[in-house]
Amino acid sequence: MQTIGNHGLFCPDPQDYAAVALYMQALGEQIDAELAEQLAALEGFLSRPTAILTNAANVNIPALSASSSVYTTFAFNNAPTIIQTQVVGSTTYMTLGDPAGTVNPVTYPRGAWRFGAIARMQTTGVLDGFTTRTLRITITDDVLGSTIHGVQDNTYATAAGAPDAVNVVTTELLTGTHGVRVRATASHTNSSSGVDVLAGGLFWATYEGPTDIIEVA
Amino acid sequence: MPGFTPNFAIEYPCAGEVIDAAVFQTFADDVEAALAQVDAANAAVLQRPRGQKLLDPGQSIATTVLTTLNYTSTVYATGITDTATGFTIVSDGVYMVTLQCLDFTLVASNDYWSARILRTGTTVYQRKLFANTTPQHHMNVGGLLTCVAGDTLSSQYQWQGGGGPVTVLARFSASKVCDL
Repeated sequence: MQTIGNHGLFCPDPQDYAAVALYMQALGEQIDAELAEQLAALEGFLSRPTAILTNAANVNIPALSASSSVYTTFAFNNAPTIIQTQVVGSTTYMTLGDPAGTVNPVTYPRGAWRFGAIARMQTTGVLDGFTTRTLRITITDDVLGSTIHGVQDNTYATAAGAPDAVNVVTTELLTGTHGVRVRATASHTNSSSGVDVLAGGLFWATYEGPTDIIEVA
Repeated sequence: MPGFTPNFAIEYPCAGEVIDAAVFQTFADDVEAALAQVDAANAAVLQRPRGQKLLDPGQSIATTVLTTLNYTSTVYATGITDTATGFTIVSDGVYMVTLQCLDFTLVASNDYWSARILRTGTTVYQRKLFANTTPQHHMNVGGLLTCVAGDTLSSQYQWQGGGGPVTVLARFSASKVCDL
């Protein structure tokens, strides 16, 4: 057999003609495998791991407080084996992969991930002018035990034009070697009453793609 | 009995079968069908539904009036229907939707300014910032949204203050991330 090109395809030599059926089987299986690999890569791009958490009802945050458990219900998740929620105390995390200590961790694709959240916030009583409304995303590496990235948006509340709204988007390079936990924390400094995060808030993660592709011809 | 490959069911002859031109034709047809399947996925990767609208010159907006932005041009629109106020979704999916606004009018006072993204008339993304009379109020809003065919994407701007109206420029984009 002669090898053709660099995808492992081949053709028979004159002395191989007695084995044409076997050749066609091997050729067909090789083409099948090569195309299946390409199709898997393309479909992987078209369905990159993505999840969106939401709050189905208003979530009240008492006066001068914060909540890291606003978004608790998946509105969408196309990668439920690697993106899940985990409740630790009063915090609901979005997890990528398994947390630390797992013998065989569920890995997630290494590379760039984008995260974001929206919180539309409205006081349930008296609004104290010039108090803050804040939304923060924090990414924690369970193995390192530390925050690897934190970003927030904040504004000052005004009675007019309610609700007040904060919106965060960020990108982080993740190794995929062990799990990370991501939390969205909504907080405010209104002292005269609590503040509701209105229903329909969103907290999401999506895989942007690898940053270290090495192709060997 | 012929055999078939595991993923694309490419038919091949087994030992002892008569191999004639028809066998080669079937083999080639099956390879062609497999290539077409990969081509379709490749085209889907290269032609993601996406669009961008531009509002320039700007739109005049009076104080306190929650105003739908009417875009003046379409920068691009592929696999998505562009409208005067934004987009209509053609293909179900998760979309990244972003809105950038610039209000460059100097006003006497400004209590707040706010921009919103709406899906089929309901606010889904919003930012609202506190007063500043300095001109050039920049505002970026956006994130992921699940959408189904027929959903509309539009945007609104609102401000409150003295003087005005303000003139708002905007850029509104939607890009499909993945299927539902």
